[in-house]
Amino acid sequence: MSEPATPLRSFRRAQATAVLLPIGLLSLLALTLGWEIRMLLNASADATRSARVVALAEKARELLVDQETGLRGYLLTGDRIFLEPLEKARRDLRPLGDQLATILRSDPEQTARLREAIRHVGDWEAFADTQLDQAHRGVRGKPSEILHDQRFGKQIMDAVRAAADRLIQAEADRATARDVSARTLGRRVLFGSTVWALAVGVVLAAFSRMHFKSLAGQYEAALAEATRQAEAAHEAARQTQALNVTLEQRVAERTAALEATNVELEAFSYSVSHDLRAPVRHVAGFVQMLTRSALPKMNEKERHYIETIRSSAEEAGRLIDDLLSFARMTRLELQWHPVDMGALARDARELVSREARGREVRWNIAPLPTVRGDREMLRLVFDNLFSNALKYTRGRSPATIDVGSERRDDGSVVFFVRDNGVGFDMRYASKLFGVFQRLHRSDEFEGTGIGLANVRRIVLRHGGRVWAEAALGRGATFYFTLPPQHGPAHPGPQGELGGPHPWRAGEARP
Amino acid sequence: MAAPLRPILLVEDDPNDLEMTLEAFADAHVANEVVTVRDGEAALDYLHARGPYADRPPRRPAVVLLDLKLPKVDGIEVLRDIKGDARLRTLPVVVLTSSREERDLVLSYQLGVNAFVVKPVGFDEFTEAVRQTGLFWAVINELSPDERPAPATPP
Repeated sequence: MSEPATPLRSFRRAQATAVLLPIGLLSLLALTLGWEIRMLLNASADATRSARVVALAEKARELLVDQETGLRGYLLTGDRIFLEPLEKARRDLRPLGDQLATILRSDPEQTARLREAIRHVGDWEAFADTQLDQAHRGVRGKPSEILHDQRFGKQIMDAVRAAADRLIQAEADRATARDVSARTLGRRVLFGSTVWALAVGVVLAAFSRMHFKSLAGQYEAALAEATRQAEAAHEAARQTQALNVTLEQRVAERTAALEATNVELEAFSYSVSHDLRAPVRHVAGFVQMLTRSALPKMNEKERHYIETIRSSAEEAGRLIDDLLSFARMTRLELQWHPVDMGALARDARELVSREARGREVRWNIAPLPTVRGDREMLRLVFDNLFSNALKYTRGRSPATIDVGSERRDDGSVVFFVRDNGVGFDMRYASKLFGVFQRLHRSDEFEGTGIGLANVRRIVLRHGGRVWAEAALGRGATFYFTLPPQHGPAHPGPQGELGGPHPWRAGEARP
Repeated sequence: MAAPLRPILLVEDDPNDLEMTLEAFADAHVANEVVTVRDGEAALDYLHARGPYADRPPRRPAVVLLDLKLPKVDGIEVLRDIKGDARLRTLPVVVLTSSREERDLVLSYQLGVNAFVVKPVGFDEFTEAVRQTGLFWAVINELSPDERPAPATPP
């Protein structure tokens, strides 16, 4: 009952007890009362019997008186008129005796008394017959004899009366006793029943109280549990909400910070674009003008100085332009579209092949899948990788460039560009994709070192990864992955700039 | 050559760029007079023939070479004014700027610029760019009817 785990079962058990227990107890009470009523009915029947016995006995006594009176009258007067009541009484008396015998047959004591009475009646009747017979025959005894006879008859009649009285008395006693015991029993049963009913009531009340308390306890426990769960859920929801608010706040803060950073970056690159680029241009320009006017007068050394200033200024200009293109790569919003990587690779090959006129280059571009991404940026990836491959295979004839892809189990695609060029030392592989990092001297292979940095930035922004494998003198393989189901479910706002993309293949090459 | 060549309006605040541009024109043998102004306000005064330029000769320039980063009124504002003015709208404007910023390029084209030239770092390339620009817009380009000289001087 105290198991809150199964409140329904214990409730049903309590319900069954609450119904079955009172039914049982009250049935017992009903049986007791039924028995009592039967007892009272028996007592009543006994009383009726006693009354009848007494009535019949009284009647018998009257009949005996009639007989005695009749006999005496006839004997004294000799008038036959007295014989008629005598005969009638005698006739009526016999069925009375039979009736009494029938009634009393289950009572040996009373039966014995009845028989004694009947025997005395028989004696008296024999005496009466003798007297009548003598009277009929005219035999007249002496008065002393008559007196004697009469006294004898009276003695018999007294015995009859005594027997009848005893019978009546015994019956009356018996009836009284039965009545008393029936009353006593009735009172007891009534008392007992009252007590019983009270007890049942008390027990049921106690039982109900117990059940009620138990149920109330269970109800309270269940209520407390429900309240606790509701509060826990509420608390969890509140915490989640608080967390969400915090997260939203953080996102808003971060976004604001990023936007501020972006604005600063734009201002920075705008400033670099205008203010840093201009003096570099001026250096180059004025050196050139100087060259034109003064070159004939310069000696070899002076020409070398001038040439160095010129080329350094132009190099500085290129670095600035590359840096700006890299910054742009970082800032510009990606435009997500399905991109046919095969077509993109073929376009890039067309473009970079112009750099390799007169060289024997064997291209092997395997079928490539379509992915989601920014077409122009992915195009730049191939441009840079192909341009690199061409550059570092310069001494090979034929140069071979293999392009392929492989879909991985997780749905992402690995692309690779493999060449048979000079390769590089894997010890420096980590430097490969850094801004302005170079693994070869610039007088061996030209370039500022921005191309692979751009490749890495673009692939990272697509959610992919980039790496390379190579060995000195045995070519290099560049890999990049694009993750499955590319692109945000809801593409962000399109770049606010709708004009042509500013990149050209030659612009960001190592 | 019946009509005198119309001038080129060069809007440039940087003296070095100014010198280099003039040198490039000379180098390219561009014969047009080059009128130089040093800020956006002066450019607008000249174009509207007002203020210091109220008494200038009435000839309209053949082309405006416009730097974007200018004191007082910047190049974009000058461009907006020209392309928003019914009388000046047909005047060819070439933006000649140091900036590689894409938003400058996009905004300029949205405002109706006729050409957008990023000054190359190398002097030879710069000279070539200026020469071609001058040749095209000042010499070759067919003027729209209202840009043509008055028919007072028939060929």
